[in-house]
Amino acid sequence: MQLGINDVEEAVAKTFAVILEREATIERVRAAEQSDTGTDNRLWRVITEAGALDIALPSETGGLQLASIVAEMIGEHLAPVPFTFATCAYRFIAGAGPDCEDLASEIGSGKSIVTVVPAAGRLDTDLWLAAEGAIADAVLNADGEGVWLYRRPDGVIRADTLDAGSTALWPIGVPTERRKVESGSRGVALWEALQTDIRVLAAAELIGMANRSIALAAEYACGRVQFGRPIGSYQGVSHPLADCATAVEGARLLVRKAGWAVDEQEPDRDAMGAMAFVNAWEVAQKAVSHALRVHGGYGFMTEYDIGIYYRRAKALPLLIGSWQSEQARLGRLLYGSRI
Amino acid sequence: MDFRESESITAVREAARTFVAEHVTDEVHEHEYRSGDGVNMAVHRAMGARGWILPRFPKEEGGAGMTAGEADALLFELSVAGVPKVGAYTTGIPAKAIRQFGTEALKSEVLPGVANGDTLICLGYTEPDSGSDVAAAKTRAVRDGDRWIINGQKVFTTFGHLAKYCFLLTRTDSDAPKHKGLTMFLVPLDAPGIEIHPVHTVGGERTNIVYYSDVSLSDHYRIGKVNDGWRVLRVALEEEHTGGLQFESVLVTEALEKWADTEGSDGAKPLADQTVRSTLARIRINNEVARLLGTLQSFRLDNGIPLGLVGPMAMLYGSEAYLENAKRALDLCGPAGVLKRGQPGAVGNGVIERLYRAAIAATIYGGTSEVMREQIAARALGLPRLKA
Repeated sequence: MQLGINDVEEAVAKTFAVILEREATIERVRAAEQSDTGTDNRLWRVITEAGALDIALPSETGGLQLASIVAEMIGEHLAPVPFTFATCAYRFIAGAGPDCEDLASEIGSGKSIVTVVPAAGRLDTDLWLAAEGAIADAVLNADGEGVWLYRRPDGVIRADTLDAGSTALWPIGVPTERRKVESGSRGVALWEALQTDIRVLAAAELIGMANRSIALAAEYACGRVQFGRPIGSYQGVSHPLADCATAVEGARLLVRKAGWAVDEQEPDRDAMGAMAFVNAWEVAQKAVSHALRVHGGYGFMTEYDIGIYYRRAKALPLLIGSWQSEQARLGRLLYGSRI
Repeated sequence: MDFRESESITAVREAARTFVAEHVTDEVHEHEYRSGDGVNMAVHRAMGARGWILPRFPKEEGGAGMTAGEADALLFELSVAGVPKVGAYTTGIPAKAIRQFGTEALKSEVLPGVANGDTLICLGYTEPDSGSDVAAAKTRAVRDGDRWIINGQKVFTTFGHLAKYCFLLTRTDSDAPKHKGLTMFLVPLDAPGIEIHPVHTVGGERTNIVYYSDVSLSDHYRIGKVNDGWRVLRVALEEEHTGGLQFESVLVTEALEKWADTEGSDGAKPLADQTVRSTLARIRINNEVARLLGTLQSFRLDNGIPLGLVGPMAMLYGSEAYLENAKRALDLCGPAGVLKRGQPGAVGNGVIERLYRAAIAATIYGGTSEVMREQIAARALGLPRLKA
């Protein structure tokens, strides 16, 4: 058991803290929301050059847990980059057969961005909702035959969404070039592993959003005076924030444990990942809504940053599935063998 | 982070399970259910023989030389086996303060008996008018030559009827600011002038009210300096904040899982119902997070990393999760859930019913959830405190 920060984790955290502090300013977050792709391309280049994708690949020092540290920081800053889904797609492709080597190196070198459309993203047979799809060159999706890579078709449009992110509508009905990357039982297993990866990194991102929301609310509550006192001295304000801070601390540990379980190929890794995701979903939701309300009417104004967290934290998990589908998935992973 | 459990902790768990198989019989469970004592002296002494009353004390002082992580695992395993452990757990709290602040004479008189399981020490902090505001205690100790005369009343003196000593918070200077007029004593409970009255609780635990009327006590039993009791008490309170009262949440989970995996009168397993699986999943998440926070706390203790607010967070999350789990679990059981131990048809022989009643205390003992939230809000989030 080693629940401190090790040297590699510290180095990664420092590297990306510096980059995000400098580059992922709230002004650039807002600018990205207004852009064509919902993405800050310059930031993405800086982050990938710093090795954000490669540290996520399984190795002695890297892996999903390390990626979750970056994902959490991306969540804190709302960094408008295709990290969570694209990183998981990269892990998948890097672990796929030798046919995919060319593709893996394209992604690794920053030439291509590949993302994932989870099952729930298939709105209908010919219209898919692709998280991080506005700037993606290809997406991964699975059917009964295997896992496929779909090249970007004509007519992809950035979707107008709750999070104002880089989600896009992909018209798969038009002739779309596709290539099989995995099939058979190996394909099923890898696709399932990818599902867990996405949930772990999304959970980490949610924890980051929740954490920063609480910090914003605490700062506001120290400065805002009503009835002659800073509102942070009122327990109706402070106690729910304390509950949220506690829940975030615990949720972060669960995310890290899930990342560790994946890296170590522990038998319960999928259940651990599902637990971390469902928990982070609830924790983040509670945190952002209380944090916004602490700001009172100001929090409702678009000039205040807390509203962005409120939108983003709600939208992110929904790009993966519905609450009930995730509950069903978790229930199956924990108790499927006994039903 | 590396979440793989160390071999030494796994060994502690195995030793605890072996101990339970040998010493914790049905009679032990039945005695605890009937008496609510929180301690079974035969089991307590058997734990003492292994150094498990004060597991983190060095072996030469009667402890087991365990790390915080090992001691945490030990307490966890004993708890989930239903071992009455309030006596051991509570006695350990003042033992640490006595070791740190007591005179050599007092330490050699008291600590060996504590370690081997002969001697129990109960806590005398809370009074009718001071609970969360523990430093507002009014029980007076007045100097009388080389002795002290004590007058006052304490409540929630759990297992006071079995303990040899009470770790007593007294006021020795009424003119000083609240925290600066307190002194701690170790009071032998057989002293003349002490009356112990039972108090019964919703959770089935027996506790006590203790009256102190002109109790004369040698200065030998003072712990720490006069009027410096707050410092001594804080060491003890921090120990109490390390939690351990919510581990029974796992018993709720196990009982519920067994119930859910058994066909009901309609021929279907409750587990076939998605609502049941979702509730169980939430319960499992609560347990996992609570354990991780507790583990983080012991990891930091063992590695000299500042604790931050992990103690209050572990306590707040763990106790609230335990209560939430007990409530949700009982809801699923329906009518059979309300049946108590020994009743035909009782779910898990009434264990969820019993723990539902007990769980609420975990959110009160050692500081209510609101006290924990105050600390977290002030010290983790920097929010201004509402001072009286």
